[in-house]
Amino acid sequence: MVKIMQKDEFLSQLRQAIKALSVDEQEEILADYDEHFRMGIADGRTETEIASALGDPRSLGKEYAAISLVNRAEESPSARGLGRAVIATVGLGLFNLFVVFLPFLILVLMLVLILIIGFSLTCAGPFLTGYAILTLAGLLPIELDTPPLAALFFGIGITSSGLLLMALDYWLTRICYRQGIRYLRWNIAVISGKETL
Amino acid sequence: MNTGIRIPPLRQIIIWLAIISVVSFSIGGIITVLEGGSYKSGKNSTVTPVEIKSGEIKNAVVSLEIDSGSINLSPGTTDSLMSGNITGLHAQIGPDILYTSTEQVGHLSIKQESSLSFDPFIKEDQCDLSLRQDMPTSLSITMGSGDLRILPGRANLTDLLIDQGTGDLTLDLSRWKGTHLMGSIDEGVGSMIILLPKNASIAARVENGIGSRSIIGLDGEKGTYYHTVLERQTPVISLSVNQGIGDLTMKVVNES
Repeated sequence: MVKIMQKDEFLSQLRQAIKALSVDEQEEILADYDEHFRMGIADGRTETEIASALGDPRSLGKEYAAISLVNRAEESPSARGLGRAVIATVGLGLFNLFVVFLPFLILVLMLVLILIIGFSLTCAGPFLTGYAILTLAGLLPIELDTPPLAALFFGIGITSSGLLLMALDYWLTRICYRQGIRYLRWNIAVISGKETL
Repeated sequence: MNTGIRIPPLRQIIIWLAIISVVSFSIGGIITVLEGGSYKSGKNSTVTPVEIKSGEIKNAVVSLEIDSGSINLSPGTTDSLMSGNITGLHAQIGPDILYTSTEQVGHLSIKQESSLSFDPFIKEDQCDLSLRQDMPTSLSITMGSGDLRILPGRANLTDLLIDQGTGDLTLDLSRWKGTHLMGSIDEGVGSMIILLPKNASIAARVENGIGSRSIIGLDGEKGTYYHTVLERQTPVISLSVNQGIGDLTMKVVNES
């Protein structure tokens, strides 16, 4: 059921919903809606009619906040910025918990896991290489199951594989970030009805 | 300020790291293949003698657990529950041999873990063991990768559990002298030859995935086979065989 409200109440609720945005952005949005009301009244419509035609101010506010945070995350990329944009988008509807938050969480965990594996290999490789060199130099007794020369190359291989994984992880993160922003934008557009599935 | 150090593009870094990884592992692998055998033989292998005296026990429970290698089990003497040698390359690890006896039941556990680094080229530990013949014995063998040659002779096995990952299995029960035997044999990949005594009544449930199945001297079909001896107090063998990939031969033979 649509709540009957006047212009002041509508703008007050909208202001409350977009208070996370910068003052300039708030003023711009509020000025837009004020203009809507003025033009509507000039056309002979009541404030209540205009308010109900515009929709729920809290939902509109959430949508503006989400768009703004997504824009900010795109302009200055950071994990925190993307996280805030995701949370804001999730706030647009419970459905987004499953189509935005869960995939985001799984993706982050996957990237962190690859990073941990890559880091572990990068750390382990030099140990094996060093051990093989010391064994070859006769400073350590032979306790490796593979020839020390082979272990030396395996150590180099493990180190470079670890670095490779970390580089791939970085590359994947960048791709996922860009695609994630695009997905959030599309998701907001679908929810606001500007785009269809 | 220009430091003169130019970081190459990410794609170039990834390509170079991939090349270095592949080349390093390839060279390491080639060296292992070429030198692996001589390198291994150059290392001191360790021989661990096994001599478990039976004492006053009347029954035995024997468990062998080997990660990789081979087990040859043969008939033993009457005073030792188990004897023989375990030859391996892991002097620092060594087999864990634990023997306890409670209420005239001897519990023997021999466990040998393989080294941490995976070595697909050379089988690690070789167990040449003999099992006492006359004592009712429950035998359990777990093998990760490697061959099993189980020839217990006249050993009075009451329970037999074999769990083998990869490798060939030869199980010769043709001389088995017991009254009842419950057996369960699981093998992942490898051929399997099972010889069974003609003088025992046998019921076997066989499942093998990929590979031929040759059942000789037993009746039945579709995985259930039997061999019946119509005599009083006939010994009974009940077997459950599961094999993943490999050829299976199950044969009833006269005492060899």
